[in-house]
Amino acid sequence: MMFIKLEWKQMLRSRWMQMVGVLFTFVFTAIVVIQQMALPETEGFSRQTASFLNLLLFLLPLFILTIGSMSVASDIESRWLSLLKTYPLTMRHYILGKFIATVFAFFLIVIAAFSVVLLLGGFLGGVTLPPVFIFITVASIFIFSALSVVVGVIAKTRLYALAVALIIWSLLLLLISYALMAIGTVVAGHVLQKITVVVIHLNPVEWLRFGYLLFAEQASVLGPSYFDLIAFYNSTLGNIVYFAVTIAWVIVPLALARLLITRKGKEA
Amino acid sequence: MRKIILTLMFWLTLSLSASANLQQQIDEAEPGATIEVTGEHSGNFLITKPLTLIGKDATLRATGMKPALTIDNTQDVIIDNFKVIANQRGIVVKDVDNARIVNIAASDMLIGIQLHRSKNIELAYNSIEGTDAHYAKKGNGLALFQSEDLHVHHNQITKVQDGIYIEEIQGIHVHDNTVTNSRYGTHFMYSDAGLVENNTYERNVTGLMVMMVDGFTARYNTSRYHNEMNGSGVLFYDVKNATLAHNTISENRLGLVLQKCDTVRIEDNEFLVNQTALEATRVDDVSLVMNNTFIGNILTARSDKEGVTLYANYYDDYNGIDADGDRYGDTPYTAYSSFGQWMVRQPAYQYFVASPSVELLTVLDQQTPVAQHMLVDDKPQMIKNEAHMMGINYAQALLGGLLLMSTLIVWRKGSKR
Repeated sequence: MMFIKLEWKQMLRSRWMQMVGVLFTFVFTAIVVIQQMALPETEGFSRQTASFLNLLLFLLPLFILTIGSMSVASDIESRWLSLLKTYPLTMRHYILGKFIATVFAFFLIVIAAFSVVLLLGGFLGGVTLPPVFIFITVASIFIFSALSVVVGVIAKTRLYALAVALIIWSLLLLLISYALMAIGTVVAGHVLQKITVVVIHLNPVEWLRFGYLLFAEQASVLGPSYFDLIAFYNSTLGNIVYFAVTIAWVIVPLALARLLITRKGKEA
Repeated sequence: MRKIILTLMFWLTLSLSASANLQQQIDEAEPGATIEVTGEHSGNFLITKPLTLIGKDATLRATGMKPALTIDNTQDVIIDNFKVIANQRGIVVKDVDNARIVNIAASDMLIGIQLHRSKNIELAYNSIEGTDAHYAKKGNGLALFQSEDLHVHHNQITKVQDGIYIEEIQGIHVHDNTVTNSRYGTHFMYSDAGLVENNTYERNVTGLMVMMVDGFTARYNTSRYHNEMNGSGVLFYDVKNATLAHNTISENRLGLVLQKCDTVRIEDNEFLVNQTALEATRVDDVSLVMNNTFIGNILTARSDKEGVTLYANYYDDYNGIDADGDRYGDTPYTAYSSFGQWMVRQPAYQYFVASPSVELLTVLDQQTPVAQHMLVDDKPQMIKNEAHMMGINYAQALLGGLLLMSTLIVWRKGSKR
């Protein structure tokens, strides 16, 4: 508990974290308010909804992966972790502490952004923050905080962590999608569809996007090719599987991080 | 003298109402008589002469699989104000000239009103509600075949296969109807000289479906919330000489789909917040999309390599300026998007619609040479964009303010030494 408090305090004191908070709040608010003024009110998947979702998927993973991973890598680089090992602190607690502190810090940033949106939106007649959007935001903080801890453990220095975080971010956000689109030009449609289904489960960005469309009842936007997939995930079993996979996306990286850091400790 | 006889006849027929068997009354009535019907009548009633049936809290219940009421080979028939209950078809009209079927309430049947080989027919103010079964197991609200000069208006239809199914009709005016939760709102097949106006289509698979038609006009209709897997607001397939004007097409998966169309004019419509506003394949170069307003659509237009001509439309995502003040942008608007074209060729690509990677790709598209000649509007309209100001929501502003203050306090407290 003490370690979490300490980490949380360090995160909040970090200038980078403060800048990220201001930047995220500014961009998020600007997009929401501009779209609110420019577009008619809708109930379906619109450009406004797509902007919200893309902003979330672009910025949150980027900030969480870089800040979270550098926080862990900094401990390794500065030998703060070696010092911590002399205290009665297990690596499981260390990993969990880092993860929880990152999650809390980003919760605070997101709440700040949402509250500014509500405040300014209130002066424009009111904006809507759908519960599904909030759920996906929370899920993305959990998933990418867990991933950031693994990246931090893999990296030896802060710069290395930053580079790895950026590579992973661009892979998950852009490069895998472009690779899939390129594959689609040489394979049959049903093959592309099957590969895409696999990628949805293996790429947390796609998983969260798919989850948003699914729970917002807008999955038809994905088109008739994915009818069976959507029908399954709309069932009770599908919902359970969705939550199980989401939890796995948090637990597996944390377990991996613990395994790697323990192995690193032994090697050292 | 004629007047007195007619009045006597009327009172005579009125006195028979509700007591005798309805079919017997119909058979015994003089041509041109009026029968007032009350209460519930079971059977499969048949009219073969000019007649007016007026219901007063009356129900016609079909027995077996036959229609509750059949009007066959006659003229000048009026059916007004009945509740109809049937397993298969509510009312069937065959080979009739001049008939009015109005204020019919039919529910839980397969087909509400079916029309064959008839002329000068008015179907109005009817309310038809199907079942919750799959579309394949349902019939049409109004099924109209091989007829002429039809007037279909102010009907409310829901939960059927096609709200208004029109096949091989010459001259039909469909207006002020509302069709919801069905497969197609109005479905035209092989029917010429159709006019569809002021109708509302909501939450069907497709709002207005027009197939293999030569000569057609749809105007002032609203088609929205068609977001199923194959959903679209309006779909034209193999249509010639058609006009789609002043319609509002909003919040659909595909706003307007044009497939294999010749000489089609799409003008003065509003395309609002659709996933894809316009999809065109095999459209001739005479067809024109002009003076429309495109606001808030994720993808404005996509097409096959033949494209579609865009002219003087308004696009809310146009970035150009109007330096010469002629109310048109000085640089062309490009609706082209590589991704949009891929989606036309390979539906599996649709998974990526509006994804982060595609958003970036679309921005890059604007710089590519191919973007200069496909789906380009050389004269995009510049309209003053009206902001949607709706007053102040004090509760939300207060909540936001309190939440922000709390967050800042927690942040400050958490970071204190």
